[in-house]
Amino acid sequence: MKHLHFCLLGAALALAGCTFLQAAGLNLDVDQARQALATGAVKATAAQLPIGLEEERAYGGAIAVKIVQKYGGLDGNAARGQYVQRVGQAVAAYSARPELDYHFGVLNSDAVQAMSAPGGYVFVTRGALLKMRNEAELAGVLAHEVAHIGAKHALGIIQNVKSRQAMSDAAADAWKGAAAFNGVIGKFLDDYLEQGLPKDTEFEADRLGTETLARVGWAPGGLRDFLQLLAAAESGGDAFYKTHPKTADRVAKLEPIVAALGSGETLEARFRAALQ
Amino acid sequence: MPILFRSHSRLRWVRRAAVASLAIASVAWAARTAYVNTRYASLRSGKASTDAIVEKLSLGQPLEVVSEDGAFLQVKLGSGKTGFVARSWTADQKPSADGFSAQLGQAARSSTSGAVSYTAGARGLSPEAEAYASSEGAGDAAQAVKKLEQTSATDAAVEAFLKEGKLGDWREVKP
Repeated sequence: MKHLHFCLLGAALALAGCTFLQAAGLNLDVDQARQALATGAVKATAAQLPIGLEEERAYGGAIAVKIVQKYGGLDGNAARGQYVQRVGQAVAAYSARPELDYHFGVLNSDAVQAMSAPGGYVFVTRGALLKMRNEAELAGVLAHEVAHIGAKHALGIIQNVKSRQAMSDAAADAWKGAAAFNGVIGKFLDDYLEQGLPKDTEFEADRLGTETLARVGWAPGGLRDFLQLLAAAESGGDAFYKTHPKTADRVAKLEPIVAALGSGETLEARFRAALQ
Repeated sequence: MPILFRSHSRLRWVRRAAVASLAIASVAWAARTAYVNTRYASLRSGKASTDAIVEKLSLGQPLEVVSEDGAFLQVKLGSGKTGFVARSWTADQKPSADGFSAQLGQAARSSTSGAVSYTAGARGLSPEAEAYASSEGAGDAAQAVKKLEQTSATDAAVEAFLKEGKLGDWREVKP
């Protein structure tokens, strides 16, 4: 059971482009920098620019397509899909990046997985959904994925991949070229589809997601409880989030955070009714 | 006596300066602006989630803080309407131009701040993503993602969902 995870390096890498332009003696904001590049006023490689929203959505869309392809398409149960969308949108509305258009889908797979891609794409497998016991657990898993998007974990890595690629065209929209775009996506997927992301990004997404749970009013222990359930079933076998830190370690790190956040709603009855 | 007179005079100036400082501080405090940092937040007539909604607030909307009271802010809108909003639905920071602040996102759909040009951009798979899907033989998956994008829950449905679960803006916040 492999978990596609596309997350973290974050702000430091995202700021690489700004540093570059400042080093060139310019003091431009992102829009100004893009304009300068577009008009040829600055000789720089487009790969150094921070990734904007249009570009983020393009990369995220391509990654989302690969996720859906890998997991056999989307689950055909409309009621399940609609419920997950509502829980997901409720999470996203109170997340760090509520401005994005998020899309939540159930994958047609019995594996126990959840994953996200930049730009607002979040997926959970049918297998994971059917293992959950209440809405707080579902919200916790979705909040973990939304936190990856909010913290731009995957986007930071894509930025790094771009920077390492020899994208010689200085135009601000050089990323739109098929060769450049496919190259970045291919490299990103090769590196992170199987091996996952740095452990600290997973711990950070656990923490941020749990804080979002509490903010909205769900039981803050939702994610922790689901991880505990999985940890009990792991016993050295094929683990949930194979590419993640050990589940027990994640649970241990979440314990004091959950304890400090008080109580909330588990909404078990609504969850069961929706999944019937 | 002249010395004493000068001393009284100094005292008066000190008093005036203190009053002026307090007035300036008061004006500065009264002018504090908070910004809505969630997609679903309401200005209510009181602090309870069951109190009447005066107006629904928009992501990134600036709020003039009239007073602060624990978990709530009493705020005034540009329209002159006043009411209460949960402090946790607000942030002190103005949205960044990129709209990517970790603390506060910017209104993609209904910003009233007028301070940010950011928009959420066009919906749907980009031409680049579609071309990539085609090159990978993932046309069916691309169609599935496009369908997913077209079936997202509406704001009304999500608000009703939150209200039913007593979540978000309908959560009972302890003052």
